[in-house]
Amino acid sequence: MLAVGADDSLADLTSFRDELGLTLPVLFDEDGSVQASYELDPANAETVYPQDYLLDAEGTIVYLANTYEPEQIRTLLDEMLSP
Amino acid sequence: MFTAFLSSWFTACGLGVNPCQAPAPSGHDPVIRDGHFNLTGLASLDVGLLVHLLDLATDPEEGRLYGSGTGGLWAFDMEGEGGLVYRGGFREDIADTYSRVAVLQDGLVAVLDRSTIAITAPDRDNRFNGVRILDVRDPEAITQVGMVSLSDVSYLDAVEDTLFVLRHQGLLEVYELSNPAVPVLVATMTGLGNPRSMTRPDEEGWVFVADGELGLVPVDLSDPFAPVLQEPVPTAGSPVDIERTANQVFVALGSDGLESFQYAGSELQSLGVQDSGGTATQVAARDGLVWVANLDGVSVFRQVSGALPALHGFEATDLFSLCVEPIPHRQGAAYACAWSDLLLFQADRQARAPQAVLATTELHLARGTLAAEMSLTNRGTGDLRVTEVSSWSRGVEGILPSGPIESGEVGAVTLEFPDGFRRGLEICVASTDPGAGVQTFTVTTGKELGGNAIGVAAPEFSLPDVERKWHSLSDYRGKPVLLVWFATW
Repeated sequence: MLAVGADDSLADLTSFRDELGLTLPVLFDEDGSVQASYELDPANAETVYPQDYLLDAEGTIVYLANTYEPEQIRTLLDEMLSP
Repeated sequence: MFTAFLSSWFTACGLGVNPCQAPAPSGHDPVIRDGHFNLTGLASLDVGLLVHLLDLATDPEEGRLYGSGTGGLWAFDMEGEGGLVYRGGFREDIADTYSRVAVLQDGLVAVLDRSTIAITAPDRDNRFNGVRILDVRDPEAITQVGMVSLSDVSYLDAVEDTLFVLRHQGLLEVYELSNPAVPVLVATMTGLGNPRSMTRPDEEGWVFVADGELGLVPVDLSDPFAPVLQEPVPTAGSPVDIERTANQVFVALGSDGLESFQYAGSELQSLGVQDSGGTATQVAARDGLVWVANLDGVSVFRQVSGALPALHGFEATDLFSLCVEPIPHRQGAAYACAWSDLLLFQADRQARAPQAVLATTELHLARGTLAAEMSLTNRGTGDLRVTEVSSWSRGVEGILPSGPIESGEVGAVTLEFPDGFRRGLEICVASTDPGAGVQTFTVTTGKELGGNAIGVAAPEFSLPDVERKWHSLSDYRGKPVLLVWFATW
């Protein structure tokens, strides 16, 4: 699991990680260029967070959602991880 | 001069002549747009750019509608098929962000004034806070005859010459107004949390208080001099408004929707909670219809005995809809106030029987999604025939199951969205089979069938983490990856 922040400063991201005690990599997309490649236009006021992309082992996008749907993601992950 | 202008304006192009053909009275759109189901917006009336209407009340005996809000009190005669003729107002600097109006007997109304300002900035200018009692017998010369000076009123209602006042600090107060110049406090009940609205007493004297902290609080008001608080009943969200009919109670829960209860005496039993079409700020019921003012539109539901009300219609207003008031003596019609507009809505008297709207759901879409699939599980005993899938967003079409969905089976509805559509939307499903019944099937959040991203290789990237350690997406090849774009705010 990778978390990426593109609309916050590095300091904000660091304190966010520390406050929540996150151990996953919190990535910093400083100029938003990677976000743009995922069509999350930083100039667009309608950009909604969190935006979740679930990729399979080959790196193909299998699910995406701009709403918080942990159950759906968990179900899909369970399916992908089951032998 | 402002008043004179408005007065002449209302006379010239008021709704009274023919509401269906009333011209859009001001510069902006006539507000009414694509109707779904059977709720039709008929007309709108702009009360002035500087006015923000916040509450409406009707006096059926006098045939009058009162609106309160910034700029004061507005009095209209209700004529014919819901038409309105402006009669007069009271503009004594009633400049609240949260106003209420209640009709008393003998030509009096009570108006709540400046309560919110009083909470956030306690009466800096030493101006009036509280409830004004206005004599409206001559609507062209409305005068203030009494007042109750309070700093934290959240709601008021009146039955004849008894005024009920809810206060933010958790009080219900009862005032007796037989002499409106001298309102007399006859009872104070403590123990509420954050009371926001209440029902009128039923025949046995029960009222229910919508309390933002406690839920629904039954109060025995059979003796108005000695209200008795009962154990609160929890709600599915924080109540903001409440309405009662003969045996049901409806509670607006803001973004949590509309919760319905069945009741007998003080016994309340939740029938469940449902999507109201937006952020439910106010609820009103009359003639078997339940009206909900959402922040951006008005919904109407048909009351169903022993079950959740069935969605009957929704109209987006493009404006801040804050209240809705059913019109007496006109079945299935209501006024709504939305910013500076008064809107007239008509729910079809002849519903599309036997079609029943069975459920609504919310579907969240990723950007670029053009189609999605929605699953319906028939939980009833009979076949389910899906006849209509509607959205409150324009241009959404559904491909319906060709045959009935048998009891216990799952059917799929494919939804197609207009190009460029990318926000979550509400979906409503109707069936011709009334035997399928309300609440007998569930709609699960759909899965997306296609978009510009699903099935596509995720773009490669290399980014530093907050420790300046670099991560490339390709480092994770061979394992599923959940990539979460987030914001700390």
